[in-house]
Amino acid sequence: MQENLYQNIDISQNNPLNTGEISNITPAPKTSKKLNPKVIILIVLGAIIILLFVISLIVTSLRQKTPTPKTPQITPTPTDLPLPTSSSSLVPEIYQEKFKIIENNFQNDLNLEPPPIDTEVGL
Amino acid sequence: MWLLFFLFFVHPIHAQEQTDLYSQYRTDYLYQQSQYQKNYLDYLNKKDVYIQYRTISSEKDKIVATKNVLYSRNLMLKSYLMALRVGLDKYKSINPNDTEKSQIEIKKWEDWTDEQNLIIPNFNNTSDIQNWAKTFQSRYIEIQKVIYSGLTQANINLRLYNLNEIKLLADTIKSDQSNPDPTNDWFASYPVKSDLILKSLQNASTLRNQNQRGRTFSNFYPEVKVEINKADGYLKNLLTDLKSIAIKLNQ
Repeated sequence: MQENLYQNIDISQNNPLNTGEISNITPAPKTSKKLNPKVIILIVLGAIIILLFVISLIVTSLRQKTPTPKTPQITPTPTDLPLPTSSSSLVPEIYQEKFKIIENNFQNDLNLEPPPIDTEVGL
Repeated sequence: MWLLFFLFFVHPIHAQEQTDLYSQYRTDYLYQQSQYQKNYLDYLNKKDVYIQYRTISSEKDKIVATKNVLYSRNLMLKSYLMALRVGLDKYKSINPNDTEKSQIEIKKWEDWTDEQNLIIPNFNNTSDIQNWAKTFQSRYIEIQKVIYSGLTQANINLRLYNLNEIKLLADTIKSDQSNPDPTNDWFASYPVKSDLILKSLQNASTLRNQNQRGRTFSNFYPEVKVEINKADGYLKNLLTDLKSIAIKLNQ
């Protein structure tokens, strides 16, 4: 009994009888070039930067529209403690004079600035 | 009776004399300063003329003007040192030893300026003047140290005096009350604050004792003022608290 050779009709290339033709098959031409991974990373980073830039623009424009609350001005801290001169009248009379003398003593530094001189004279 | 009368009045009169003497010396210093400034301007003019023409007469003029300005500078320095020394007398009693040391140092330089003013009129040429000016430059570092040291001492003395006065007033307020003692808290915090004041004053005193290195004066006085300001802050704080207690007594 003769054995019948048959072909898979679904796949034309899968014919065991046409083995010689297989070598002639040329690969299908590539339609798109594969991108370099470095370029892809650059593109992604660029996209992120652009996105951030757009977001910052939006945020800035929103901030400008809303009125900013006035920040309180920083006042310099006094280096010298003021003496409570205003409350002097509340002090018992017998001590008022004594307090006044001590308070005035705080300004009793020698008012004697050293003389500015030119030491180059004669050189 | 007369002895008591004398003892009662002798201190205020003495204090008054000290203040008057200081004012007198300070006025003298300001006058000498104006004289120095005049002579200095004249010296600058004569120097410019000499640089421009280089003549014998312009050189002579320059030498005379230089001698004048050096002489008046010494006079000014001396009058300044005298005012400083006398100014230290005011609160000397609170810290007599250190104050006396400062005054002795100041007096030494007063005498030095006097001696130099005997030498300066004898200069006849530029070379002598130059040599003297070089010596003065190195000596002036020491003079500045003594000046700023004296000023530091004056600052320290005043703060010690104020601390003592505040303590005396607190003692008076304490002893004066028949009510439960309102100054308890104040006296409890006094040792801490007093220590802080004394520490700042001690720091100021240490700063002025540091050695001068190099050919220029390294001024310690700004740092001294920082310590003095700290002491002032604590002193004012003590006084404010005491005043609050005194106000409460009145209510």
